[in-house]
Amino acid sequence: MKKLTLEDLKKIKEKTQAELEMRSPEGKDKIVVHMGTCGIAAGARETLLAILDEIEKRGLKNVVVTQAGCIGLCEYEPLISVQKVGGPKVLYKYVTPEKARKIIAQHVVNGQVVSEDVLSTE
Amino acid sequence: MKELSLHILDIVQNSIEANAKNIYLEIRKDLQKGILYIIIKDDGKGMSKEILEEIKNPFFTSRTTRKVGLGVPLFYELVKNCGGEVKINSEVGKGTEIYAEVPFLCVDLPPMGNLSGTILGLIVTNPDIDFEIKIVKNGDEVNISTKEIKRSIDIPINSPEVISFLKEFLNENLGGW
Repeated sequence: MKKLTLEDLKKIKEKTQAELEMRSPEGKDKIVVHMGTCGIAAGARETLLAILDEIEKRGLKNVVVTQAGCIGLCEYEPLISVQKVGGPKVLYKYVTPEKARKIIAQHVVNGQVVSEDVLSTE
Repeated sequence: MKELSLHILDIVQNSIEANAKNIYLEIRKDLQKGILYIIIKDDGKGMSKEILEEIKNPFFTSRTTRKVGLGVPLFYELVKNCGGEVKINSEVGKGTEIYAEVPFLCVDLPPMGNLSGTILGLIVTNPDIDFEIKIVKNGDEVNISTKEIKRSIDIPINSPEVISFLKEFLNENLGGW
């Protein structure tokens, strides 16, 4: 019987990484930052920059960050939503840069929702 | 809003929501005339004459999620209070152009603030939009074309490596306002 060698494992790793990088946005974890006037005035740009900083520092290749407009929940801004592949869409409220970093570490990287900051889940 | 770059970000958001595929942003400081020029052009869905007439009215919006539209009125008031001028041209199906000139020594004009972060955020979160950005200040000119960046790299413009490169480039070149 043929044994799995170290070389085989390396090939699998390379193949998986290549596949991960070739994935369409639909196959990636999604973060949406709401950037309407209300969001921007409440600090959404700083929240977005903290998220990009974490993605850069952690080398998160399987995460896509996009932006959206106002959804009429101005009093809870800055708002972000996080949807991991196959998971629910979680809307977070009052997301300061510090909270954004925590959400990346806890939810995006480790899959645990930061329940105290959740506004709604779809 | 405490920074001029936040107003610019807010106005560019309108182009993004108008489904623009190409957005041109020019920020130019003319030291001799003492004027700051801000020009934003897009090829989004554009606006009808009726909407254009109402665009400076904060209690008008084409959205359904809320009853106010504050982005353009706030920017317009800011420029007007400094003795500047905002011109908006738009055509349905063709796009919109916003041209603003404002005396930059006006005490009511907020500082430019984090322009590099604003541009980084726009580029990285809108990988499908081609941005042409021209920044002219104190004799220096910085041109950024995301179409060219995308053509010269074989990884997505929103990947961690490109974010890192863009951040460094923008921080180095867009400071000193």
